[in-house]
Amino acid sequence: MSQIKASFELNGTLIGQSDPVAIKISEFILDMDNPSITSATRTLASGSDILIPCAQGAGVDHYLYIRNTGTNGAMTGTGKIIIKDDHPSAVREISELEVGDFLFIPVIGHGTDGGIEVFYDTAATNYVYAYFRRI
Amino acid sequence: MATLQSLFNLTGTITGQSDSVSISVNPVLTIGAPSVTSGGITTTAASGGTNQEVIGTADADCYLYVRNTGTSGGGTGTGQIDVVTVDGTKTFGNLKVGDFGFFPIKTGIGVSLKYSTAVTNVEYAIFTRP
Repeated sequence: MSQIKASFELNGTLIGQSDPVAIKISEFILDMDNPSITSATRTLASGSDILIPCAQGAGVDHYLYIRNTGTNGAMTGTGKIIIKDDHPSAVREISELEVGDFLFIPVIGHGTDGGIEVFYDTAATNYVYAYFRRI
Repeated sequence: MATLQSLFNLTGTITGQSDSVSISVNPVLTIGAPSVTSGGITTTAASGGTNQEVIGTADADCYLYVRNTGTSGGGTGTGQIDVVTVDGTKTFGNLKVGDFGFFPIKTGIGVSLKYSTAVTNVEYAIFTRP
């Protein structure tokens, strides 16, 4: 077993709201084990890439990080990334990352679905990802 | 239009891997209206868990932040939270006590939060993307 530390902050003021946004999580410890990928880079020019196959099984959950590293993220792509679950018969959309966007989510493993696949949208782009098996 | 400064870090070392984990990003997010800057709910155990909608299918693209604020997050709950599409057909996320997630949600999907294993406390925020 290994541990990594996660920190997250969102700060700012929204027009018309009296309370500022001040979300802060400092060095929350995540317990994890292999198989994990600490850093990977891909270019998505068409089709899709399976990041976490659903075949990893029920009860095998992961912390997943993905960032669209197109033009605002130090690379050259301009497209969006569509995030879908990797169900063999009924792939469903979950999320969409514009250039520069990132996500972090604990992904549940069901055995027959619950994996993650990323899809090309309207233009090629680049992305980095990492996932860590949660225990 | 408003902006939010984000910061996300993951650091540590995984057993058996030579490279350490060192992820750090801090993009500025452009935010429109409507938004929920801070919301709290307690999951409901009735009938195996009630879906509590936080984003409707008609809502625009948005960023969703959610954290299980049970016993190690400032609350008293001990359960997990399932993150479910609002039509109930897809459970794609699961948060143990203390876990959090931050992810963009595409319009038309909708998100509900659902009881899993025991009652717990939830903090969430929603920011519409212009």
